[in-house]
Amino acid sequence: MTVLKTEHLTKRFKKIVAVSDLNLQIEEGEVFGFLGPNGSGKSTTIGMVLGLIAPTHGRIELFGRDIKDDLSSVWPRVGVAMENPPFYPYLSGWDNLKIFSQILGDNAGARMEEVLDTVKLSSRARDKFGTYSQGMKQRLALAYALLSDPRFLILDEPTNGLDPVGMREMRELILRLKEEGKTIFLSSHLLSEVEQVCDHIGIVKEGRLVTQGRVDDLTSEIGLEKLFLKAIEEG
Amino acid sequence: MSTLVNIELFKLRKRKISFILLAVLIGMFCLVFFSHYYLVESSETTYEVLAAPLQFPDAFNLIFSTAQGVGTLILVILASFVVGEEYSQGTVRQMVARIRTRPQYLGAKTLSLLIMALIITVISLLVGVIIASFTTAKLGELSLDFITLSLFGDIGRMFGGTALTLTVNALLAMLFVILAKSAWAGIGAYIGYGLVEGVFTTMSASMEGGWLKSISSYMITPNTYAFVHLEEGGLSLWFPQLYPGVLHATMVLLCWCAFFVGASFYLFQRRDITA
Repeated sequence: MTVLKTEHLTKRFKKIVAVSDLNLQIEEGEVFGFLGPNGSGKSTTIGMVLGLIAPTHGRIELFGRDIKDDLSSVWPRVGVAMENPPFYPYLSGWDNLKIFSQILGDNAGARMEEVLDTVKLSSRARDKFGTYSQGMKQRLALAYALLSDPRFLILDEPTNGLDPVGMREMRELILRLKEEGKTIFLSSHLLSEVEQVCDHIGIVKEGRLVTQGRVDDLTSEIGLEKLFLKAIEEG
Repeated sequence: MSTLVNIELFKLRKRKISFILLAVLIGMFCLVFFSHYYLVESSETTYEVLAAPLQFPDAFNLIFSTAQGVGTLILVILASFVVGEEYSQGTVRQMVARIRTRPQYLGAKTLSLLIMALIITVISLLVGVIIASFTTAKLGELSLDFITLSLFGDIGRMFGGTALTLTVNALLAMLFVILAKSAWAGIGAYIGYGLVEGVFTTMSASMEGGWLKSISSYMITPNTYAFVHLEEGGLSLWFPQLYPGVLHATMVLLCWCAFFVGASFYLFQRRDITA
């Protein structure tokens, strides 16, 4: 089953083309690495998928449904961890999750302790979000993404600002989620991270998809770093 | 929607600024009443005229006019932070991405502002009545003789008018914040608007007639004064004959409310939410 599909997705901000004619397809169970240098349109693409940014042209499908349609049946199946985790600094991690679990409904509230355990944040859950380190903020973002036990996870730069230990923990967590069969859309500019956890990649440059395919196929002759640099230089 | 409104109120309860502003409200009531009381105590010639606003039933004028002035300031600051900080903290992305329907998100904000306007008006009335009971007793005799049926009507009108005044100002602040995507820029724009409206209203009030003079009766501030005065009896510091009638003021302010809400929803729906 196709989890995410974009067709000719384009976004212009006045004269700047942030995303141009982007065609992506992510199948169930895939871990898709969305690679590109800073300012290449990764976050704009995610913003369009999340309904925060209106595409200038093109369409987006989630679980086979156009995102302009009523997504109430499929949206709870999607978990999102945004870049620079946006939570309320005056609320504790627990209260932040509580707010979003109320919006998610169903049994999201009952899963709070479980997801906090999963991301190893239970001991600091009652502390204010504003006092968290960057690593803890990222982990809370992942806990939030997992609240509704989603089938599809969108992770935007989940290792941003993490120290090597934090990055390794995050990587292990993503691999565990992959083993559980979750589909993951991982936006990153860290090649090593993507190489270790993703089975498919797409490389974007200036909003255009310059390379897409299986990691094994694309990197059989040259490593991911060389492939990335080649795609960016030639694309 | 009720879940979202509850979330908004929960966030308000958890913020320090809510309690700081509540303390400011109570403090300002004490300052207004006790500075006035000091003025009365230190003056003998105009004792009755000056003392009336501190005694029931005229004290309700001072209670609700203080509630309008201080309450507006407090609710504008709260409204600006409630909406504006969602932009600065980036939480607007998280909330809208999860809720999906933007009108629901902004509708919850709007409803919570209405509830806050009511809460501020109720607190102002309670604090004002407590302080005015004290000043009434100190300046004369505290009895319940002033309570009449028409007084309840007056209090109801003043209460509703104050809540409406707070609401229209909060909605204007919300519109500015959404326009600027920032709490401080919204507060700045609100202050700027207040100054421009004040200058225009003063200028138009001094005119003999003409369409410019009539415009001021459709602006916000002149209409907010329409509610705060007793219809009968007692001495009053206020001059209601200068201001529009209650029905006119209510209709004008409701129209402004509808315009601010409509413009806010339109802007919020149309614009991209970027980091």
